[in-house]
Amino acid sequence: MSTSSVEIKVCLGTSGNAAGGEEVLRLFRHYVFDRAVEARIGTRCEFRKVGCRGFCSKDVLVDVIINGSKTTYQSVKPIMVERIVDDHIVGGGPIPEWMAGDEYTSFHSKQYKIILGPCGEIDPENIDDYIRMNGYRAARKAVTKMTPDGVIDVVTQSGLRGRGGSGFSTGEKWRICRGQKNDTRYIIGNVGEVNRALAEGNPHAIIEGLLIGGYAIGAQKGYLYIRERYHLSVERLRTALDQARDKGFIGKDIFGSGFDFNIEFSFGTESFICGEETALMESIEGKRAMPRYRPPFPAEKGLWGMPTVINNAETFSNIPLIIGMGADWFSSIGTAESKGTKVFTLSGKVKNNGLVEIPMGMPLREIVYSIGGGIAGNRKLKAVQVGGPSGGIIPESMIDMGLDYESLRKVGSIVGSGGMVVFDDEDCIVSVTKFFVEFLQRESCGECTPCRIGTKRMLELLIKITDGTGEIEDLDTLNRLSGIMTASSLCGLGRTASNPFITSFNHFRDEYLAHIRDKKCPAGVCPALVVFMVVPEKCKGCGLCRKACPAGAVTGEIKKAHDINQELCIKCGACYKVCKLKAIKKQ
Amino acid sequence: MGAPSLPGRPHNAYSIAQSSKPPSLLSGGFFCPVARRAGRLRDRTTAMDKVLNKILEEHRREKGNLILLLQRIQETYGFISRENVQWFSDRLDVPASRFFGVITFYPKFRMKPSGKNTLTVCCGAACHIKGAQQLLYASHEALGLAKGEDTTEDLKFTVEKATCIGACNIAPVVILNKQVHGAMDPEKVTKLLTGFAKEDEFIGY
Repeated sequence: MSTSSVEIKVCLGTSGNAAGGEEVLRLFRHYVFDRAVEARIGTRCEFRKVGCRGFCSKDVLVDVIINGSKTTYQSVKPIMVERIVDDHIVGGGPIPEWMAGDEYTSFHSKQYKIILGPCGEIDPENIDDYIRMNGYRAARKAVTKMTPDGVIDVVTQSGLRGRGGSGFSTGEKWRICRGQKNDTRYIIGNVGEVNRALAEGNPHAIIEGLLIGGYAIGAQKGYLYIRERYHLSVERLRTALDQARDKGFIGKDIFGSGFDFNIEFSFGTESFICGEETALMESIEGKRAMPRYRPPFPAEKGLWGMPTVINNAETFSNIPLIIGMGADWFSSIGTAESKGTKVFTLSGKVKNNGLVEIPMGMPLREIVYSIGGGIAGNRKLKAVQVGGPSGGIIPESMIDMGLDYESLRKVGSIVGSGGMVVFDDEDCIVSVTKFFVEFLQRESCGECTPCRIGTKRMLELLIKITDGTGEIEDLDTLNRLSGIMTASSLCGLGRTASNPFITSFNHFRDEYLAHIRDKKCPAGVCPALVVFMVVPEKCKGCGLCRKACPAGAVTGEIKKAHDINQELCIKCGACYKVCKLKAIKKQ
Repeated sequence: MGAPSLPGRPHNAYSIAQSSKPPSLLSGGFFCPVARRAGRLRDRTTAMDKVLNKILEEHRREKGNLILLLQRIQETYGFISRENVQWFSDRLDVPASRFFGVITFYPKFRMKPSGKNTLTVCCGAACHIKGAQQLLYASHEALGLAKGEDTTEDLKFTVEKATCIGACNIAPVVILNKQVHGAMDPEKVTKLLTGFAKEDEFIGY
């Protein structure tokens, strides 16, 4: 912490790991030790593994901080480490060609990182790092200086709404639960797909939020519900929990206030339906995850029949900030109805894939073009799907809309899990819709009839359309089905399952009609409706497509125009992808 | 091919006992001819009982639920056999149907043995539009799996699909034994699998 210091931060989130971050860090340690760097520059080197900072398409990201001036390197491979150590750390001269460029800056400058901020700065496996940046101070304040009702008041005033999908006011939910007469109450933090980076980058924030929530509603026990498959998240949360327990933040008589609170893991299995709160409780109880009838709501009668609050891990991460910085600060971010920020996973056909945190109400256009850097391959934007599988598809013409609970509901979508998939003109909307419906059909728990049978029939009709045997009447049937499912399904999964179809049909009617009436797939995706052909004038006979074809359908001599045998063609598109001369066309 | 599987017979522990070698603890059932001939039947059943009893004890001590119990069985054996379900059903006085209800509800529970290594292909939305289906084809081809199969005959590999694993920003993604590999394409998957198979053999012998 003196004036002369060297700090090396290596991004080790899931994708940092996947890109070889572990090896990069090992090599940094190796070279610094091996070359006696610390002795030569006369100062200690600190190594820090940090969580994901969102810019995953250029992993591994490495920060080298010398005397407070930070240099970020992108796409660091193990082989590059030696030169960074020699030239930069010892020599003092950064290596410009490996430094993170404008994309990195523009990716971050438009974001507003309040909960993702610490990810990428602190070591998630070290509680002292978190405490140094005022960690657990909010919990101490809440438990020792505030009454439970006071905490609930602040959370209500802040305008925080559930980040898991429904957007119900968090403070209200807590108040209902606190108002119940039972002595035993539970609080559950659901760590879903999008929260993965949070759990990996800043697990203590989730734990602290859960602790404050537990104090506010008067729960003795909290659960962290997490998919077993998220190995890294589980590991980091477990470490964090152990450390918090050692420090006395979790356990008996917390902060000397007499408040006892314990947190336990509950390992979920991979089921989409477990995102529904009553189904999640069934799963914790060890049963088939089928939603319960409501009312009574979980806040009145939840886990094991006791009042229970379920919030998303992202919601909990906001809590310490609200308590620490005040409700006014939090409600100054966002729009009139939707306060704070929201984390989205920006993926699909944008240049910069990654995890982004934006203030509520930011226009979709800015996310796609400023943060996402536009469409990969300079193609045309077609649509953006927001809110996970049961979200709606928003067409290019509407991307100036702001992202918040109300505007999204207006266009038939939801904030949902915060998934954001960008489609370009090479994606077929009908086929994409089919994919989402297929997913929802598979994940439907089968409890209520509208959802169980509705999703199945819907999928059958969509398959029929993409196979080229659809009829105009099918669209009416689909519309009618959607209405019935939305009106009469038991839980959110069934009620929102028709979102992809309704929104895509409203905005891309022409594409549906092209599939049905003209038997053509405009984007050239649906195998039954597309033909791959060689354009003889453009083909130079390089033979790439012949080698790429898995079915042996491409024939031709070298340096002469090739030909595709339509009977053998399996329409995989491999030839189309490898051709550098654009000599293969889809029809 | 390979294992003499009888047509129409459910793929349960018994049929595995005949095909896999060496016989595992599981295969020491009454019908296992090898075990009977060797006269080690009692030893084997007690060995298996020992393992199951340990799970049962833990389960009772922690007042665990069915999902945790099944997870533990699957961790121990790689899958959940009908015999195991019956064993616990008798001792816990819980109808076997409730076990099967839970097993068949969650896609991660298996009633067939799984391979030593597991390749998980993410088939979430982001991975889907970036070609997860092609990765599945490629992995099936690399391992010589027929359509509808998910485990190689030598029980070395299992290929499974996952819904979103939350790594959408590096789609498409596969997980090979807990190690996440991002930005994959069919060639990389093939390389990964063939490379891994070789390495595995090298370490194994």
